[in-house]
Amino acid sequence: MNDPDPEIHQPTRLRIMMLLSALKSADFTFLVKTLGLTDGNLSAHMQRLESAGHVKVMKEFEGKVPRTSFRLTPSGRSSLAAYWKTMDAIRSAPGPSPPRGSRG
Amino acid sequence: MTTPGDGETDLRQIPTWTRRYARNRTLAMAGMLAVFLLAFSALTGLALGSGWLFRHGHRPLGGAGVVVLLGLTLWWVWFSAVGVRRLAVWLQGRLYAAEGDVRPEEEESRALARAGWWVGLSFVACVSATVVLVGTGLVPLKYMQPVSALYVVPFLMCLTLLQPRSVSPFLWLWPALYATHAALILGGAPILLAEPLESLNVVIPTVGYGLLAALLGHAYSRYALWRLRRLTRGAEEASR
Repeated sequence: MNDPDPEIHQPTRLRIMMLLSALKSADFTFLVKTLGLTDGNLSAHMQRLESAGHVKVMKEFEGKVPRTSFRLTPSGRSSLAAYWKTMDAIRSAPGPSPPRGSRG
Repeated sequence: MTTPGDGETDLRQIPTWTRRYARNRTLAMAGMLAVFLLAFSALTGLALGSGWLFRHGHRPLGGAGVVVLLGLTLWWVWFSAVGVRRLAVWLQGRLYAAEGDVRPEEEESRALARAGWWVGLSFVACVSATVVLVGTGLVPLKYMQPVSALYVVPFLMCLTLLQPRSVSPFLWLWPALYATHAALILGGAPILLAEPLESLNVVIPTVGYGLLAALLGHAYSRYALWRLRRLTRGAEEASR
């Protein structure tokens, strides 16, 4: 049985991936406010997701104001789907037999 | 490596509540309705005014009114196709600046853009035909709303049907209430305003029901954001 992707399995990154999976894109402010993170913390997580190829970072200017937004890459979407498939497989796998005499 | 715990159900709900939140950020729609109200009032006023001027022998002034009416109609074609989208993006950015920007999933295709153009053009043609019919007295003003329901209701339904993944489901209330209003008028319900407020019989259902739908959508987005934040916060503590 495969282990889940460690880049996605981390709780904050998993939440980021789940948020982005429902959107075309989201900006830095939305992710910081919704996840309750600091700017630095979110940046660190986004760098790891970008390095893993799960997220695309888009930088643009609205007038003179820079805006950073993110979206899942196609491979990020398929990795997220594969992650949940792995987790379902782990859950449905038979667990270790209870030791004898453990009941009663 | 940890396995999913009791919070897994919560995690799986994140995309659902994200979508609900993103689709229901409808406050910008209120601003667009204000522009729509101004354009509609100007078109109606110009049509009625031009008709009155022609009937009373002021042909040059009536002609000038028709020229302005045509110019405004062309502007409305542009606004319906291009300007309304730009205004929506601008308002959305300003009104939800504190929460950040999200773009809902969109149905992007050339066929959709082409369909949007035809829907917009047909709508403008129908509005122009109605104001001319009312301006020339062929349709009594009190029946303008029921007549307009014949194209406003399909138009509003088209707007929602063409973008089912990005538009608030609360916007279905708009055509539903508009059609109900028309049926009530035809059924003789005492909801019509008399002179000099007669023209408001169209404006109130058009803007009023749109505003109601937009405000309900916005209120629901507040609830969706609250749910979403409950599902997404605390991950850092959980991972420590």
